[in-house]
Amino acid sequence: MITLEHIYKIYYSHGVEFQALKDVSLTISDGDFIAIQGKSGAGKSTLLHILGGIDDYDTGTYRFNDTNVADFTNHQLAKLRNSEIGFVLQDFSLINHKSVLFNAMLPLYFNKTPAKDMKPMALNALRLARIEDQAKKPANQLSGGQRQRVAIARAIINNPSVILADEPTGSLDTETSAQIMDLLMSLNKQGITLVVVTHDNTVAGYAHRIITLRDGEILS
Amino acid sequence: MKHLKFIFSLYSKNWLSAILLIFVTSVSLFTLTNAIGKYQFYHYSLDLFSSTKLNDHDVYFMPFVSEDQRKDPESNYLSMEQATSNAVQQIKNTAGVEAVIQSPFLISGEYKGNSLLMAIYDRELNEKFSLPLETGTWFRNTAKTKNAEAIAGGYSFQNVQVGSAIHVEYKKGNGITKEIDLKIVGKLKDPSAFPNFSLSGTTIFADDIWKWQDVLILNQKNLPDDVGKDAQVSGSNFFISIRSQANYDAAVRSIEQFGTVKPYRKILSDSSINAENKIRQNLPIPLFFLFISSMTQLSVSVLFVNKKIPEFGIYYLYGCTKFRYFCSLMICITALALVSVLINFVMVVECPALLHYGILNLGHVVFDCRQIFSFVLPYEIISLLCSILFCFSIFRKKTPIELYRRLES
Ligand SMILES: Nc1ncnc2c1ncn2[C@@H]1O[C@H](COP(=O)(O)OP(=O)(O)OP(=O)(O)O)[C@@H](O)[C@H]1O
Ligand SMILES: [Mg+2]
Repeated sequence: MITLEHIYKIYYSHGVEFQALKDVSLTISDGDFIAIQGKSGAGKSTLLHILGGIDDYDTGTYRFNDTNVADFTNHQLAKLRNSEIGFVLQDFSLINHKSVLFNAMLPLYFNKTPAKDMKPMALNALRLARIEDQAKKPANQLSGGQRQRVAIARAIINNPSVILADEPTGSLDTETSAQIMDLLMSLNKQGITLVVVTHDNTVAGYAHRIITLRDGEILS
Repeated sequence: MKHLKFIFSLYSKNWLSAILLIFVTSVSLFTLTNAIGKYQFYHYSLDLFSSTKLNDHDVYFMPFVSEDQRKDPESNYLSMEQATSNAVQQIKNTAGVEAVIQSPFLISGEYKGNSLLMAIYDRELNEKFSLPLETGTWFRNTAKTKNAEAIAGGYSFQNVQVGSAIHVEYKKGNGITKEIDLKIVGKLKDPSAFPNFSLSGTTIFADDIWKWQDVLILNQKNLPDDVGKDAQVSGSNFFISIRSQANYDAAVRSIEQFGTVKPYRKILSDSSINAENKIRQNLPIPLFFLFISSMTQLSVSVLFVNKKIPEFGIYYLYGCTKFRYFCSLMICITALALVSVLINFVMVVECPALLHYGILNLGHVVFDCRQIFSFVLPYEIISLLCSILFCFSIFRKKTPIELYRRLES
């Protein structure tokens, strides 16, 4: 379970303060599916980054499974990202010149998985994402939808409790979007919590709950 | 294992610069090694010269007749053998002269199908020029023995043990092949050298009076008489021992009527100056190369890190800490430097063989691993540390979040 209480995030650039998040409070229970919507610049990605432990916040409390994330060391945060959270971002997050298999097994390099288990685990994840037939190809030879499947395979390889997706269908056509959303939905049905940032109302329609941000604040 | 695999995967897209770095560093290190080797060569030849039992009463002597003149068929000079033996006789008759140390007589022969040189040591040479040995002892036997004693020097004899007997062939002037059996009683320290006095100039340095090549030094005392007759004079100059300091000036004055004299002490001091001059002349090139290699090290490291920073954003998402990623990158860079040092090490260790087979031609060098690596390692460590610090200053400022934003836009 994830709880955010009164989170504020301020960016400073060239001496100017910018409030990206204002008093954001949010509870996400296990198995939930939440869509985050809002105009460009509303703070959606910022919120997702904070949830993923890749960006920090200025005030407020963020609890992940009842532990205060602010108390985590860098190492513990890295472990959280590695084992509890799976990221699916718009389309940049594959290492292009490496094979699909390498991309899928990448998180296993940063935990205690024995080397001999890495390939079977990666192939299994690729199978769940229905992209195992492309395992040997370099990532840059895949289509947008295929790339997103690889990203999903990588996100689920460590059996995370949460998947955070930022515009996962942002650069896909409608049909492929629907396929990717079906895949994410099936993971959600297996109990994985899903938080998806999206502009697309169809995508948001899959969610149990929609949160709308405007100028860094949640509209109730 | 998987950590190594991950680190290895970071080389992708960086192979060309990695190979360039290894190449430039290896070449630079070898230039440095070579310069140190040259410097050590001059010092070693000087050490050899000091290790002889020559002393203040000894002088180097060059008769006025040059070898070119002697070889000229038009001239009616005597043959080199004749001229030398006459000169030796003349000098020996001079008051105050105790001994004349002639350049060893040489025989070219064959050992196991390879050509080799044999140098015959007479009593005087044995007394004054017993060079440092790796193993064994200098000649002690004065009686004729079945196998004449020999000291072996150089790569050709690396597998010959002290105490073993070897069989050598050589051709006499009339084309008849003769055989000698020799007993190895000692082995010269590397690099192999033996005395050879044939200089015509007036500045004589310690390295000039040595012939730097593989050799069998034979003990004249127990060599069959006919073998000695087949040997040839190798140099028309010689060292002269003067009986005492009291006779010195008078003896030198009278022998200077036949040729030029160079005192032992003068050769020593000239050689030291020569060694320092040589290193001063030789230093700019390796320093230039080291500068280039440090710059290459720095730019390749920065290029390496810069190329790998965008990927860091991705690794970070899945649990790679900033510290870990930086360390992995630095291990990549350190490994490249290590490979270069290793290449250098192999070159140094294999150098005698490479030189022997003519794969390398470096002129005269003496490679001493310890000496060389006391220069190479600190240089590499400092150059590497500078690159790492520089990379750190670049990497430190990068935050993964900034990378996502840049990639998003
Ligand atoms: N490093 C930064 N320095 C200053 N301002 C920033 C920084 N990063 C983000 N911002 C600002 O914070 C606001 C929120 O950014 P965020 O990326 O969360 O928006 P978003 O809702 O994801 O927009 P989009 O739909 O375009 O992705 C934006 O106005 C952005 O300009
Ligand atoms: Mg965004």
